Amino acid sequence: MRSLQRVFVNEALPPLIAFIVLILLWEGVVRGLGIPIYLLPAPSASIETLFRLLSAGWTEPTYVGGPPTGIMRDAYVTLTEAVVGLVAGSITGLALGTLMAHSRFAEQSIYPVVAALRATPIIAIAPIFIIWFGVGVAPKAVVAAISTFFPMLVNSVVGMRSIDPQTLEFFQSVRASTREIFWNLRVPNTLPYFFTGLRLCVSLALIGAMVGELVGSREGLGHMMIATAVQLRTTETFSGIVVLSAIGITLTAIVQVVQARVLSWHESERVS
Amino acid sequence: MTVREAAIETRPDLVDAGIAVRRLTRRDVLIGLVNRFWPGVFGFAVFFGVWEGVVRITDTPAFIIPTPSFVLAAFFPRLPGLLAELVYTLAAASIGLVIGLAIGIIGAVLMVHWRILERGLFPIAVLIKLVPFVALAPLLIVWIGYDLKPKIFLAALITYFPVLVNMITGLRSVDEQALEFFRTVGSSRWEILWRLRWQASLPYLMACLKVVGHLAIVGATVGEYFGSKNGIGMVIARTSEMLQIQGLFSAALLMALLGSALVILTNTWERRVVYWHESVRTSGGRG
Repeated sequence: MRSLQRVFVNEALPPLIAFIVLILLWEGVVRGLGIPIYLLPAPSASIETLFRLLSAGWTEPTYVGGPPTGIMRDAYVTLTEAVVGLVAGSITGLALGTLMAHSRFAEQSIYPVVAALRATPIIAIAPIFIIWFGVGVAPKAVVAAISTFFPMLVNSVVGMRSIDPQTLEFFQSVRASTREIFWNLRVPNTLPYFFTGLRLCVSLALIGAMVGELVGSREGLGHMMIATAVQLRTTETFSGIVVLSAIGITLTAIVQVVQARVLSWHESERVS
Repeated sequence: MTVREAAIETRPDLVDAGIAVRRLTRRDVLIGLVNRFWPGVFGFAVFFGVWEGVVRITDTPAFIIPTPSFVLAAFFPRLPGLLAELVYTLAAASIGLVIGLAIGIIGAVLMVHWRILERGLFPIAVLIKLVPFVALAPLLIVWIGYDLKPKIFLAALITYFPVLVNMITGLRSVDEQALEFFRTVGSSRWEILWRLRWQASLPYLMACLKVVGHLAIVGATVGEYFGSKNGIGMVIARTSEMLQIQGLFSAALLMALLGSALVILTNTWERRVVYWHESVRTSGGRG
């Protein structure tokens, strides 16, 4: 009990205090200087709007670019795009990474192409996909997949390669087949790298979906945010940011929980 | 590039094996270069060949998917105009990058020296980082205007976090014994910071520089996309609105070339600056 208290005082209290100070400062500055609500809403006003939008529940948009009545549907659309993109990007990255880890030639020929694709800012590619696939879920999922697949690729190559040479020798000395070495040694060894990549990719997928939506869409949080920002309905834009951040934090937490379960045997989990 | 440098670049195995680099003939170097680069050339050839072939066979109209040859033909006439816009983008990106680096480095130095600052401020830095920066782009236009400022802000916002995280790790990654030695000879905190911690953090700084240069350009381009009179981001926005797919692909191609050049540049630079660090020696400095 005592140690729990200490953990709270040491770990949770300082950020909590800093956060509260930040919010109070923000509220104070907005009120003190009389900053108009369309420019920078106070936290209190933003929270009020957020609750109004949340309590409206699942409402269809009235017309394109119309004022948002509920935020649930937009959040659902963005979440779908990000998750579909994350899954597609991860699978592609893992597959290519496995191929590259097994063949030097594949690595040397695929890596430059992938690196050039990666070096292109996503905002330059997103409009192309909007033109190709329209304004639905598909182009955003593609953009999210492109943003996520590179970290997955790099992590899977490193994971597949960085096996303990002694363990590999042991496997070979008991005449393990290549397939056995792959499933029993390389794949488990890749898992920690996989989860590191996945945690990184959660926020990348959300940003990818957002970029796609901002470039061209009829619904989703990105659409809602840009539509409200240009109408100077800034409190609603802020609500979108809060909901998006909440989705990001939740997804990251889910990945972390799954990781702790799956990797309970690994030293990185045991230490902490 | 001298023969010796080229030899180190292309045949590190020989250098490691202790075979005198000077004895390598030009022919060895040439073979080394071919061995090193032909898989990459092959990869690009397959990529563009498949693209060109698929578009031609399916007879897709050029305004939907142009062939690489078509894009290339449209690229060169547009290049002078694009480069003029690129100057604007790079100006915003570099100013933002400098600000992001300054915030990240100063923040890391403060957080490493005062734990209470790290406990209090680092979670807030994480929170700010979690806010998707693209969501701020339309708001920034409202807040700070239509000119260079929101682009600089975005570039700084997107770059400070990797710098902060890497510098905290780097400044901490000092050799315990060296630290003890500095303390026994009565070095001040300032001396330890400058002569020990800063040196230890250089590989980490280089590692994040490889990422943040690209990020700064992304930030500036996104800022331009949502409202600007100049810049590559503006070109992307205009051409995609008007379905000028050649212009759009030309801009994307320029950004791809720029990004690739940046990667090659930072990798080479890293090998020069932190050549003594094991991460460079073992991995060949690939990020």
